Amino acid sequence: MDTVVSTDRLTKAFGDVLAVDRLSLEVGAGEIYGFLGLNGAGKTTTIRMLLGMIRPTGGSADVFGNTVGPNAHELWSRVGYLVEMPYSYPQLTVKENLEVIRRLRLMDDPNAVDRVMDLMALTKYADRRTRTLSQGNEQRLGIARAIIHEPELLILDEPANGLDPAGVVEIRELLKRLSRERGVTVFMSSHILAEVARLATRIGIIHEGRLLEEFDSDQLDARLRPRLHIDSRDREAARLVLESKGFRPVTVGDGILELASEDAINNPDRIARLLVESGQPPTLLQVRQQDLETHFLQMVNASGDEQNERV
Amino acid sequence: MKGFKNALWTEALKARRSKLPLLGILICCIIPVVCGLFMLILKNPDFAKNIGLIGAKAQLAAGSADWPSYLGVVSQATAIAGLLLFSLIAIWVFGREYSDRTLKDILAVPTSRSRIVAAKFTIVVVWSVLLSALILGLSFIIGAAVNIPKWSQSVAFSAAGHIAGTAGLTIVLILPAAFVTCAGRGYLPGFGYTLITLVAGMIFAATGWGVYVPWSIPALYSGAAGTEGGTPGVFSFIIVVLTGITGAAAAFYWLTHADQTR
Repeated sequence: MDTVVSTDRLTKAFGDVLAVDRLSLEVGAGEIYGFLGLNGAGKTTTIRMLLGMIRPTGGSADVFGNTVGPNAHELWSRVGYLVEMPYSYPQLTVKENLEVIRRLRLMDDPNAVDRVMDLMALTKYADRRTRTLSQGNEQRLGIARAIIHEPELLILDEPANGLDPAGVVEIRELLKRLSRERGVTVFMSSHILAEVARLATRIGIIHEGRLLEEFDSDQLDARLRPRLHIDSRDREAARLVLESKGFRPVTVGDGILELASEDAINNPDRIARLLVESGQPPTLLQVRQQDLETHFLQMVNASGDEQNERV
Repeated sequence: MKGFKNALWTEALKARRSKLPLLGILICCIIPVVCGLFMLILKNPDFAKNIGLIGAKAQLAAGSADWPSYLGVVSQATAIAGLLLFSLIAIWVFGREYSDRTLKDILAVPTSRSRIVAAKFTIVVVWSVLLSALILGLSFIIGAAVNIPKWSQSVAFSAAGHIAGTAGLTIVLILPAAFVTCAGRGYLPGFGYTLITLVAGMIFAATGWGVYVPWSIPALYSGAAGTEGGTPGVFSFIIVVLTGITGAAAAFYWLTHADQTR
């Protein structure tokens, strides 16, 4: 599989603030890469560096094998993008905004504007000035600008922002179709974890500028292992009982204890018996499938703890 | 070339759809209309006496009601109002990409950034030249309507050259405003720069150092500072051109090399 996007120890510091820290990743042709991170994690800075809008202070970013820079304009005919919130020229109509992009993309086909408006269900707003558009339609216009030239690579920053549930599904199906039928590679950041889980073929988690974890979507189920959730009237006492028997309970949301060991998950009756015999009968004992959101937050928290320990 | 033509088309479309051309035309109409009003007052001293201060101001600014004085006042007004108006155009053309947050959409396209910047500068210059031509044309129409004496073809040609020269110097001097707008990422720094340079230009023109200060030179050339401020020489024009080139080059460099985070 050809590599479409690659970064090698990509770093960006704004003064003393390290926004992206030695980020190395690769995205192959036809992949849908989900780039997950909290606000301020470094997602948008990474995307801006991939598009040559920001110069790295270290490392490099390559797109289609070419090193990205502010004057790599010939590269951009193969790339479509949407960075942060989509904005358009408010005094121009939807059609004129797309015409501006069609011309700046040096496209000869005058029908491209009508075609993309049709694809993004914007035809009925064609002659409407964009300052009157809803946020959802502004988002559609942003995506229309990104795909008007049928790019081989789409770099999208929060593409589902501002869309209603039907719009979110529509964009997901569009991206899947582009990837499947045209082999378009998609690099997308998102905070809607469920969307990423449904769409991405590979997921990378970034936190405080560092890539914490990267995995294929078929590894997702293995990572999102079931957990045994336990609650008791005296949680601290229950914790001590479990620890005395060699388990390693961790406290999750609402103070509930969680066990990740296979032994505990496969034998919840044994845990129940242990707690009852110790005088701490469980008020909750449930095997739960961890969702991506929980996994993500655990990764992020673990990274934070690790850094605090280092300090 | 195709990239430049397309970028020019998009800049022209954005300009056409805004209200700024209308505002510019309005301001350009005001300049000859006010100057014509001065002439009307000077032609009619009783009327000037009745309106007191305005009459005195008209006497001070224009001296006598004839074509050479009238076109001289138009030239002076072009130096001051032109710097404000033409700067406003440059600030708007470059600054709206920041205020509308659309800059990021034109940074990674096959049309190179330098061609986009060149197209923006072309629009600024063409727009300013058209407005200067409007001032000149209207000045002749209003002067004829007021029916002031001492018209001759040579006076008209000489004055037209003078107004065009003043406008040209002013247009060259607004180019750094584009850079300040880009570096400041919005309209306000550009406006601040324009006001500071306007005030600095006036102060230096009054001190006699104006011939060395780029922002004083159009006013001195137009005669707005009288003869005491000095007469700009070739070196003055070189200073103006170098200032303009430096500003334009800085804007090019900024948009093609600096980090664009908005």
